Amino acid sequence: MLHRVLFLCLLLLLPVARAEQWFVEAKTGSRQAVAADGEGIFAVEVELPESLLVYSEPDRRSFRPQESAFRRYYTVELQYASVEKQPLAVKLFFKTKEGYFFQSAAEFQLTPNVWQTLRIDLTAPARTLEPVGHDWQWCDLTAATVFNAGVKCYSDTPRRGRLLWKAPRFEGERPETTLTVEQWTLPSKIEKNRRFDSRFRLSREYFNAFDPEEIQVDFEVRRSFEETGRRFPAFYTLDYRNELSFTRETWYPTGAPYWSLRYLPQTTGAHFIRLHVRDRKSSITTPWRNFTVMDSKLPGPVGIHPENPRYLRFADGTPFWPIGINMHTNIDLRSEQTFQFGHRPDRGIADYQDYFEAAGSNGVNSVEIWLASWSLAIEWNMLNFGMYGVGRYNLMNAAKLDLLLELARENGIYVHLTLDNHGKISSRTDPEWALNPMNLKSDYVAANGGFLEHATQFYSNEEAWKCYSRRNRYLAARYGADPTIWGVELWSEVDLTDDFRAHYDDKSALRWHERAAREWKSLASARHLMTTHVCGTYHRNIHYQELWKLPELDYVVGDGYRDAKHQIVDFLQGGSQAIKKTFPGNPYIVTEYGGTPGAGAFGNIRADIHGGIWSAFFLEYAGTPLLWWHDFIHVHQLYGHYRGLAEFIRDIDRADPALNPVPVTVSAKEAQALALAAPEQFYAWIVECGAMRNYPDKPDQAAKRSGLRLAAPDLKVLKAGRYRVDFYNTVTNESMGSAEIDYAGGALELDLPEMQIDMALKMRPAAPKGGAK
Amino acid sequence: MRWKQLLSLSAICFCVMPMALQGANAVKAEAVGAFHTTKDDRLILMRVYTEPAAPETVWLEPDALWKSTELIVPAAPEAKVEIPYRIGDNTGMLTVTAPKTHARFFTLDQGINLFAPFLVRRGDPADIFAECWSRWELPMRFIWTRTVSTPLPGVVDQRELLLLDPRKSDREMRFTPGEFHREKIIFNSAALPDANWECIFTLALPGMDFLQRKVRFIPVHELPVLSVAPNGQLVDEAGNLVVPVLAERTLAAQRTWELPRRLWNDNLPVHSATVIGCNFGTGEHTLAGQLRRKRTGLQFLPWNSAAAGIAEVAEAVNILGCQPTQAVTILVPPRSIRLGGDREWLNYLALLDEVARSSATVRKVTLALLPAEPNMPESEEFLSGVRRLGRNSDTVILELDLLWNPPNREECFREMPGEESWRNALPVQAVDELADILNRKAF
Repeated sequence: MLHRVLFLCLLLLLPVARAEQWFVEAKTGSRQAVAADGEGIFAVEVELPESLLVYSEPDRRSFRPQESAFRRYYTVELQYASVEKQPLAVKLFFKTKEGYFFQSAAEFQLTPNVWQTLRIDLTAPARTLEPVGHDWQWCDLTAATVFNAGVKCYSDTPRRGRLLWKAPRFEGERPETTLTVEQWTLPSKIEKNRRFDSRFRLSREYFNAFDPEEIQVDFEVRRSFEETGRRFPAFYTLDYRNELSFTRETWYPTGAPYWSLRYLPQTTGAHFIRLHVRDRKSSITTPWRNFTVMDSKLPGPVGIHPENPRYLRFADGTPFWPIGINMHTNIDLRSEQTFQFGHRPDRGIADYQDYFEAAGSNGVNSVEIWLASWSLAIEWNMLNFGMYGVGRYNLMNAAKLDLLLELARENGIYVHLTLDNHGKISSRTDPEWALNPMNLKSDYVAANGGFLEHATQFYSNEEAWKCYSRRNRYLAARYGADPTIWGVELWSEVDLTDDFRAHYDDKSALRWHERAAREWKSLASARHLMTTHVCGTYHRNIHYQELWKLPELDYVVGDGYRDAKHQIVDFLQGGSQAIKKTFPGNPYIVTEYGGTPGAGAFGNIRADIHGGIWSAFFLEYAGTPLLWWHDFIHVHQLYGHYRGLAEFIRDIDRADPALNPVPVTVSAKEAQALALAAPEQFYAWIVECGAMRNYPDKPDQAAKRSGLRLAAPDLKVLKAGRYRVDFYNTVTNESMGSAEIDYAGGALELDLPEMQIDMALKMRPAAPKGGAK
Repeated sequence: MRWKQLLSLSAICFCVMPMALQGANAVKAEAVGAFHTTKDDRLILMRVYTEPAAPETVWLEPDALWKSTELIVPAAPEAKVEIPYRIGDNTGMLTVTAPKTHARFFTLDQGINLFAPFLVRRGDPADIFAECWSRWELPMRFIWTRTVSTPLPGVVDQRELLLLDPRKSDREMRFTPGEFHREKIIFNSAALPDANWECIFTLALPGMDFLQRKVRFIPVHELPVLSVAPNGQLVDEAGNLVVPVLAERTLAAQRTWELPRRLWNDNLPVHSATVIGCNFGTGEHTLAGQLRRKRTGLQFLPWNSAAAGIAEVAEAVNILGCQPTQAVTILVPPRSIRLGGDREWLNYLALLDEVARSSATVRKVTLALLPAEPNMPESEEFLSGVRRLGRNSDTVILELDLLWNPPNREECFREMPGEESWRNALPVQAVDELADILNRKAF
């Protein structure tokens, strides 16, 4: 053991020359390779004015940041061989894989024909390097991920000579500084149920600040000195700014990285907070600081309804019945092809801004968002911009998700966050396994740090768990205090991951879900609801029912793609009944649907939108189903369907335990109805069956149907009395008339006004005569 | 070679409109691809050329003769663009309409960056550095235009054709930008007009201006409301780069400013004072209290000690420009506390000094140098620069260090427990004492 320690110490003391190729570039893009001679000396002709760059570059396929190269100094020996007498001005420079350029603030002068050693301090406090063309400050993150390193010669006057150099070295130990917390800003007063952010810096720099084994920062919160504190992770991050030029969204890192903590206070009064910082050499705990939580009208995070556990509500008791759309990723190539929209450019988060504004203003209060590898994932294959394989996280994508959540909040939308989609560990269905950074057989395995031979090992391999858990620690630290997230889905279509059936049967997938959900809940101060998701139809939820029987998973979600021969209302009715039987104590939401998995004709999808959301309310769903084809809604501006429902149900508490479906019939067999009743409430939705298979192209020209009669033959729950019945248009929510009736109990029969496609009604006790204003 | 590649790219939906011309030449238009300017608005990129290649060329502008060119046509079916051409002595008008189909989609990706000094002093050399770049997936011929509000010696309107290489498509170079076009304009700022001078750079294709950026050189007394762009440049409300032009340092100018003010100062009390500078902690309240006793109102414009910089300077410039004050004191920390370094800080101080002096109401401007922490030799160079600045502009320099001689100097710099880290090397335990000195000497 001692030998190993000594060997490691020796390794750290040795200078490191990286295996890489050298290039010379007199003009951007016109680079040429340079090789060393037998004595290890590189040489290029220098012909100025203007500038010339010589730099090293590792093989992109195997480039992975190495701790051994994370040193204090970069040292290079150079000579400018020339007949000239004037010194040649040079600067040292570094570039990240993404092209962020940093150069030495100091200018070095090369005296002709003399070997000189140039050395630059790579620590951030030394302030020796300045950003060029951007405003990201040199820091430990950039020092650890240097991709190109070299020398820039420049002159305004003609120069001619040869530049010779020997392979540079990263050397010297980084300075030992006392571990302290600096510039910790903390608000003194904050609102209950509003996430608060606090930031600070550490006096030490780290090779990989995302690795809790290298540096772990937690914060502890308690309400009194008698109470045991709860600990949550803090996270390392960087600010970004974004610009939209036409359709291209660009994000720029700005300033220096820092640490941040986020917390969701859910009780009022004095709170105490302190930081626990532990790295490989020392650990510190800051003194307690305090802040006061003021009362607020914010509803808090979403939880299970305590009296009716098949529904959701906010922490303050306000009902939450999600009306939503699956906006997984901002672009969907399949949608563009299927619906022949043609190319829809990727505008990044700017797309979400448009979607959220349109959806939020039309009553949509929930969307599903994926951390997909092609959109918002923070850990993926190093070939992608900002990605470094396993163990380093993409702070740009993390900043994008921050902005997305902010936009959602501004538009009254709550987010169902999907951490992973099946393709990431699938080699068969929508396969992305070949690109997964954990994949040991990937072409870029060395760069990615891959270690898993097969995707099937994911659920049982401890290294894979460690990698996953580390990423989730970061995600929970950053988003776990956000009440804008109403639920966290571990996997989308988990049953399509490689050999899932076998993992389900041997219980490894169950154990994995139990562990992952438990861990998130322990790290997230908003105590998000957790679930996982399967494909197909509700049959798959029943097939894999042990997943949602885990106490850690709070609600059931699945797909609702239907066979073209089925009609959406009947299909959802079947699902509701079957799921209620299997999961009597869990909310159930269809989070993907819309025709068949391959979509369908315009009328089919529109029927699913309208019929899906209305029938879900009258059946026992905890929210509307979320249409997968969000572009379809946006391009055709079909948000009105959501607005009609949102306005109709605004004053109805769907989670009221007394409010339940009751059987109803309609006098014409081409129409059908769904109804809910409570002792003093009766609601119904009456619809033409055909329109729920194929919605009319021109709804305003659809056939009008009159003389319909709604009957509830076995209505025991509704109290006898005088009621007012209001009829509504389901898209505009405009009144279609009202009537007052005397209900004597028992069977209820109502004459309906003329309708096109469908209508809804509300029946509530009539105001006493003379009592109403 | 590039030409052939482009033909093959668009072979699927080749759209050619031959024009009857004298001789064997025909002018043709071909769809190269399309791009979006918004999520829903689509434009077609066309290439116009002669076949066989004309000995002389397609003519678009009097000063631009090209053998082929790209142009932009709206995707709407009825949309068309007309371009004049000339082959030899024959001239004509080519009407180009958008084809129904096109080969591929491009993402608009090009940019203009402008760089200029933080400020210029009239009479000193000034420069503008402009660069434009393209990350299109194919080489593009852009029209690069420079327009000036008033011609200066060596800086006049200019229009040129730029062929910018595409971005690298291979994996090894995928993150590097395409080719930059760079130009540096150097001129003598003495030639600038007394009022605002503008230089506008435009990157365009026939049919569409892609980008336009403007730099404005503005005398200090005419500065608009300033803000700071994310890259740290001073900009006006429209986002144009702003370079404040400081007045020339002439003896006559100095006398014009100074003499009447000296006369006032000797005879009139100061009713309103402004202090700009590093976070002074409780010193601010002490100073305010003492000035109140003299019936002098205090406006304190602090900059955040941890990240003081151009944003706070811009804010101070805006406030000084609109709120009358009679005395301005700039509290100068003993070392530059921003990453940018000494030179930037000296520029900030020069701007604040000049803005204060250009105010009609300000009678006294003081640069108050705070004492340096012991064993901080690096501050000396910075402070020397500040002294030089004061000497050159004849601004009063108040060396607080010379007036402050505590027995326990080092102790004064120790941070108080429980306080936020100030990190600006102030003697935090002696700010009240310094405020007292400031009150006596600066106002």
